[in-house]
Amino acid sequence: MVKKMKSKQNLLSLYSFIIYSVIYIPIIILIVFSFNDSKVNAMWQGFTFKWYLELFDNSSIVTAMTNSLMVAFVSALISTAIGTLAAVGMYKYKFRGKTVLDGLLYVPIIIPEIVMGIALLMFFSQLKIPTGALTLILAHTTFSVSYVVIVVRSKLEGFDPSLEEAAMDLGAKPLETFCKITLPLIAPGILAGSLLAFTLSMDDVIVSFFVSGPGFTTLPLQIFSMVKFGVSPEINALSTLMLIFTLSIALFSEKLRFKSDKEEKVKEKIIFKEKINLKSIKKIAALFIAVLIIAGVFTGCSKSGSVAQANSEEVLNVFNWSEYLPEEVIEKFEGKYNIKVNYTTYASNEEMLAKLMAGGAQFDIAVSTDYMVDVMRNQNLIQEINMANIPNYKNIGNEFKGLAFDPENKYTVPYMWGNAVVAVNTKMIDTEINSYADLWDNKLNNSMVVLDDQRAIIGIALKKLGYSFNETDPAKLEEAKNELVKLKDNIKIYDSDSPKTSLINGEAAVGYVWGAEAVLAQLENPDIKVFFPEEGLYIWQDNFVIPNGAPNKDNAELFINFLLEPEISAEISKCFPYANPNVEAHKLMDAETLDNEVIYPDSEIIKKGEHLRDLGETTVIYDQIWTELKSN
Amino acid sequence: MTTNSLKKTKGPLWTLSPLVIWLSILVAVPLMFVIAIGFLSRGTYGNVEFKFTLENYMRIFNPLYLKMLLSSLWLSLITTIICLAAGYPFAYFIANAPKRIRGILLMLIIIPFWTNSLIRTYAWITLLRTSGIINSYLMQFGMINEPIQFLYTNGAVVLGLAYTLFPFMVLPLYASIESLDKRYLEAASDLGANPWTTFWKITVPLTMPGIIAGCILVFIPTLGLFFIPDLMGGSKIMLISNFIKNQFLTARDWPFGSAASIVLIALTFILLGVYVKILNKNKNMEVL
Repeated sequence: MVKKMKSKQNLLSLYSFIIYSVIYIPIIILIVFSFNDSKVNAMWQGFTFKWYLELFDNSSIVTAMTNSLMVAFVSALISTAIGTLAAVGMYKYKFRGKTVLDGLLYVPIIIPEIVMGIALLMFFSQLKIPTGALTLILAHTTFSVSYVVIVVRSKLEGFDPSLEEAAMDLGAKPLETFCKITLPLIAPGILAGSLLAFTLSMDDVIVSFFVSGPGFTTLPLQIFSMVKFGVSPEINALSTLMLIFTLSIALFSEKLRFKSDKEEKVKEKIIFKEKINLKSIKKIAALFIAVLIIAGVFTGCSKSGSVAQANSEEVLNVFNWSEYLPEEVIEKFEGKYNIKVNYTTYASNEEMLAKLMAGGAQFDIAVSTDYMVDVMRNQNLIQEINMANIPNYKNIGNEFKGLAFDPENKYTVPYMWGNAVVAVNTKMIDTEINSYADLWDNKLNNSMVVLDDQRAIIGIALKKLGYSFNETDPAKLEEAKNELVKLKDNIKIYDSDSPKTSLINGEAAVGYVWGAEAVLAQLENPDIKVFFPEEGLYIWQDNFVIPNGAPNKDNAELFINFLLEPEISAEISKCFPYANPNVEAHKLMDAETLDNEVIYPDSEIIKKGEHLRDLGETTVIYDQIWTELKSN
Repeated sequence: MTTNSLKKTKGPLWTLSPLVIWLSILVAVPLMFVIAIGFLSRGTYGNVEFKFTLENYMRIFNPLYLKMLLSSLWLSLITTIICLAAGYPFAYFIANAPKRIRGILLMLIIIPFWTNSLIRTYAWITLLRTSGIINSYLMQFGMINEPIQFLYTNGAVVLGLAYTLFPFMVLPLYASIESLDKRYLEAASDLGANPWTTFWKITVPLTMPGIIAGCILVFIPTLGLFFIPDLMGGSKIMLISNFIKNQFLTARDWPFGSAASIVLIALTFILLGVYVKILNKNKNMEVL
């Protein structure tokens, strides 16, 4: 009998060991890649320590991490306190409205994060609460508290109320009973709940995107905004350090406890369960406090740095795509004009619009693609730019001015432009792809990576049929949908963020991707060849706009003018493979870049290309086609 | 087990007031916004127009959207079952481990989840892709000739979801199993029940609160995690979360997105109600 029990115990231990291994496998990969000598997180290229060194130089990542730790700690603390009290109350007392409260409690868990983010931002902006650390803590506590209540309550369900009764009978006051009997008994539940709350907050992106403000960003936000160019291995390095740090604190405190345990065991052989529970709580609390102290020291350091700069009082809140402006350029601007730049990023036009629509009115500059300028202008979200303050506007080539989204050049200043092309891994597929129609070839079955973008994909079907990227006729759109149903079998992956990764590592043989992505893929994998489909390219142009209600409009114009300086503009082009409309800057750029046909295609090819326009009501039809396509 | 007399005690309700205040300000008010927007219309350029309509709610009952909802629920259900099946023995192990290492075992499972979920998902991709670590090893040892397609399948999506939400199952289970009174188990085996019967008739019903909490904390969030289906499934399937996100972003149809969210909330409440009822019924029947 005992033997049998033992073998069962061993089996369970073995099983748990396997589970731990599965949990830690990705973590080990993550650690290994923090030593990988390649910016692209895809293939092993050799050993290096450089990401660790760069991490310590990258103040924005360190600041973001301390911000995250602070928000996670404070919100976990508040939600654990409120949640535990309420769980006890809800368990003990019957009262009217309990069902309503129960329902409200589940809402933050059920409601899609994006809806919660937008709704909270609308709420905060109605109350004129500026977004920042406070709004982040409020929002994180709101979704964490439900988790805490649910976990603590499940613990209370298995709780023996006679213990409380006994204490009361022996003369203990309610508060005393709560602290001395109830609390220790439900401690494991409180511990589990607070750990969940901390974990949730450390990893939240969507709600945080909406309720964060200029100048206060969190680590997950920073990481998600990096996906376009592949997450930097610096993040792996940071995660590795954090893991080692938390694990060693956990092990260290465990060792200390183990010692004191031994001592106690000599004194009294039987240890009350409650005592242990309280101890593990104490240990976790010690861990949290250690983390907080470190966070405090870090934030303190970075604060004192920013205080020095804040003396200038002048600020500029920039809202831009991630990986679109080198940090050195921002620093040069700050140094030259003594203006502090708060730089906030987004990953798509749509996210930027949603945030501005819901009331993120503190931004002085945003960067918006052609069709999005239509939307922002029609929704009255942007204002006219005073071109007299931007003498460098003359540096922009004429072909980039007066486009359909801003025919009188009143609202926009061009920043960068680019296209979408077909990239082929010639080692895997030997056919030439000269048209969109060629993508329908059934030789390409399950081998394509394409942009996860309604307008681009429905657009190439329209182009194949000889229509425009901006088609609004429902009958023609229906035709395009039928074409796409046939294309579906060839599509292996939809990815707008970093399609180059699947091209580089051979997961996909053919890609319909942004030109810049194709260029980066070619750098890593020389087998990749680029084709310009003969039906005509999808061309985009990003532009600076000034949102309505921008608090520092003059600084915004100063900044735009600064970025149009030929030297500065050329410096930006050196860092990112997009086409630069600044013709004066071309004189300072190296010929190799300018000769790259993928970035700067032949003028004949450009002429056949098309810019996207906003399609008004038809947008809804595009979305329906997209939903239908993906859910079949 | 629980005496009703205590539950009815008229005690001070102050314990509840912080939560009630917090929720009524930060959940109820924003929720009102969402409900209100659900009855308004989409302007031509995606703004919200103050024109009352019921059309948003009618549109949802299009078979196209219902199908998507069903496949979403199905995927969430599978994920929850996998988490429960994998998590229960594991939580049992931690809860029955020697007390001095229990805390550390618990920390060991939660700490990896403090690293960013996107980074962890990328690590899985590195492992699973056709030229990835697992395939290379399998090929090297001659176990397969062609790489296995793990990624961009429904299986990969379920793996990603189950991995990400695993602690949300284990922690409530742990809290519940930990407080299990061993005397019941001894009594059962003294009365001649075999371990299997004891497990199903005693352990499971007594830890039911933890099972319910864990399932809720896994099932519901899976409906909302869209980056895992996007990254590990290649964005090929549209789930309810992707759909609602699209309404707020690409389609710029906030009213429709709001209406869809309200329907999702209502539907989840119905499912929760049914689920808890069934489980509680089982629990009462088996314990008594």
